[in-house]
This record gives sequence, structure tokens and C-alpha cells, in this order.
Amino acid sequence: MKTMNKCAAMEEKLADMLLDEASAPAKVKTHVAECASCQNELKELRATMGLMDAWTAPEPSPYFMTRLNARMREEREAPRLSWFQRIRDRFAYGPQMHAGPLAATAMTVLLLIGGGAYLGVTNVEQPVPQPSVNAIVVRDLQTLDSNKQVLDQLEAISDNPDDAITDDPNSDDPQAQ
Amino acid sequence: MATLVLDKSGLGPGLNPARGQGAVLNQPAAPRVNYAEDESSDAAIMLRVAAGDEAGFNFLVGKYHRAMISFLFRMVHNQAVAEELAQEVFLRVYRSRESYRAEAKFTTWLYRIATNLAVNHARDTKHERSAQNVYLDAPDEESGTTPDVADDTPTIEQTMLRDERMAAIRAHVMELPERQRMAVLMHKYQGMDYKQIGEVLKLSESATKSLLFRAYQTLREKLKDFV
Repeated sequence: MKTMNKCAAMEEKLADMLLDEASAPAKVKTHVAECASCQNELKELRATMGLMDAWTAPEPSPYFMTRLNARMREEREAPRLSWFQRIRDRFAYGPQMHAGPLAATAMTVLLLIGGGAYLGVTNVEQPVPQPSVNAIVVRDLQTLDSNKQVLDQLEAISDNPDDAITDDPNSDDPQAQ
Repeated sequence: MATLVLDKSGLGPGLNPARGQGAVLNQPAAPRVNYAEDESSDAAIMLRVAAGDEAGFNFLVGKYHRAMISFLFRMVHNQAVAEELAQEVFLRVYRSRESYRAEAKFTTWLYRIATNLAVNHARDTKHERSAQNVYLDAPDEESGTTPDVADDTPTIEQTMLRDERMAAIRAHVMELPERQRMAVLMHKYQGMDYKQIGEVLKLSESATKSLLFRAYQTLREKLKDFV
């Protein structure tokens, strides 16, 4: 069990042996030399890497350079990149590991502040929104329409006063009896 | 196997000052390396391209176009697309020539552009790829050539049916998570060491080592029937 635990811990170190044997620590080399399990694992990993040679890639087509040269001619005649594109490329392909996200964050903050300020200024200058003439007419017509409906309902009720009286059992109207 | 080994002449003497100091959790705070110190290095040539040396650009294209095409071929499984992307890579190199700094090796910068393009292409064509047979445009093993357009001559298919092993390698590499896949392709087929792969992928050395090791462990399991 002890040996297994030790090997489990050494598994990470096998990466050194596989990927950069020359600079693997002497401790790791000694362990692998003595441990059959580690040796076996390393052997299998190396065999897998050897097997992968079977995946070959084709030769470039003979027209590759011709086509690229044609595109390059177009490119040389085209206008140069804008300063923004050059800065973007610098961050996208440049060596600084954390500059990209940092720049993106800075740009976002600037845009938020700048955009907010811009919107704020324009809001002040904008006149108070007024409803259009059409909207006023439509609203008035709707009001008239709803008023008419209410009036119609009232009229309908007042047209049949008998119904209401007839339905009332406590009515003392002699005509109903 | 025509494994491509990148020219090491441009590495310069101070490639990695942190080497031999054990595992480094993050990129070492090493003094800036100037890869352009050697006048004949790729970095120096690229700086001259930025200053208007067109012949220097042609030299770099001539030197790296094969490596680019083979790398992109393994990323996209199609030679025509790989060549198209390789052209795009060199166009971007040219367009961004002024943004190159000799703090990074030229090849690191080149592969960074190539991986960005290949990943974007893979994401853009994800749905298309799921519907196509990825093995049809594999190269003829004898001649190492692949037709530019789809070619349904029986020899190609027969070759592929026979060569289950190659298909399995390709399929299992493609199944790896994106970063593991790119790391394996650069390590195994482009002759790059894990330190440079880490620089391309913007990962620490230890993270790159671990990424590669996990990828090879997965491949060992998946390909054990073929070893």
C-alpha cells in the first residue's frame, strides 16, 4: 500500500520523465528506475506517443504559395490597419499574460463611464417628451367611446324599471300582485 | 513520419532563465528576453518585416508554411481548409507586423495566431462538422498527398478503411478537450516543448505539463488496442 501511495504521488513526476527527461529531478529518475509500475506506465505512454507517428499530414498543394502571393499583393495595396486594430492585435497575440483581460476591463469601465456621461448629457438636452397629436386624438376618442358605453348601460337599466320591481319579492306595488 | 521540428536557431541563449529551478506555478518573473539579439533569428527578421522588409516576410512564409499547414490540417481535418487558414495566419502576421515584440519567439507568436484562428474556425463550423465524415479527406499514406477537392476514388476510402489505426489516433486526438488537443498537436507533431506550448496557450509551465500529461494518459487508454 505504501508503494502504491508513493507511486500515485510520483505520477505527476512521470510527466517530467515523459516531457522533459533531461531536466527531471534525480529523485524521480531513481524512483522510476526502481519501480516496475512507474516504468510500465512510462513505457506505455511512450509507446502511445510513438504510435501517433502514424498520423501523417499532407504536403502543401503546389498552388499554396501562388495563392498566398496573390492575397499578399491585394493586402499590400489595401489600406493599413487602424490604430485600434493594431492595439487589439498587440493584446491578442502579445506576450503579456494578463494584459488582455486587464485591457478589456479597462476598456469596459471607460466605455461605461464615457457612455454614461454621454447619455447623461444628451438626456439633459433632450426636450421633455410630448405626446403626438395623433395619440391625443386617439385617447380622446377612446374616452368618448367608453363614456358612450357607460351611458348606453345606464339607459338600458332605466328602460326596464319594471323588471327590477317585478323581481323584488318584497315589493308592495299593487300592480305587481 | 515527417515530424516537423522547428528551427531552434532563433531561440537565443536566454530562452528560459527559470529552467532548472523546479516547478513554477505561474509565468516566471524573469527578465525580458530579446529574441531579436541574433540578427539572423526569426524574431530579428520579423522586426525587419515590421520596418518594411518584404523579403523577410517571404523568407518566414517559406520557412513555416509547411508547419502551419500540417498543424492546421490536424486541427481541421481538411487540406483545402487548412491551407486557407494558413494563408489567413500569414496575412494576419503581415497585418499585425508592427505589433510583434521580440519578447516572444516568432514561432510562439505565429502559433498563437494559428491557434486563435483554428479554434474560431472549429467553433464556427461545429454543426457542419458533426454531419460530415471527417476521414474522407485524409492523405494517401503512400504519396502523402490529398486532393484539394473531395475525391471519391475508391483508393482513398479503401486506404482509410484499412487504416483503422490512423483513424483511431485522429478521432481520439480530436475528442480531447480543446486545449489538450492543441497542446498535443504542438508537442507531438510540431516538435515544440511544453515551455513554448505554455507560452502559446498563455499557461504556466506546470499547467502545460499537466495538460499534456493528462492528454497522453487519455490517449494511452483510448489507443491501447493499437499499441
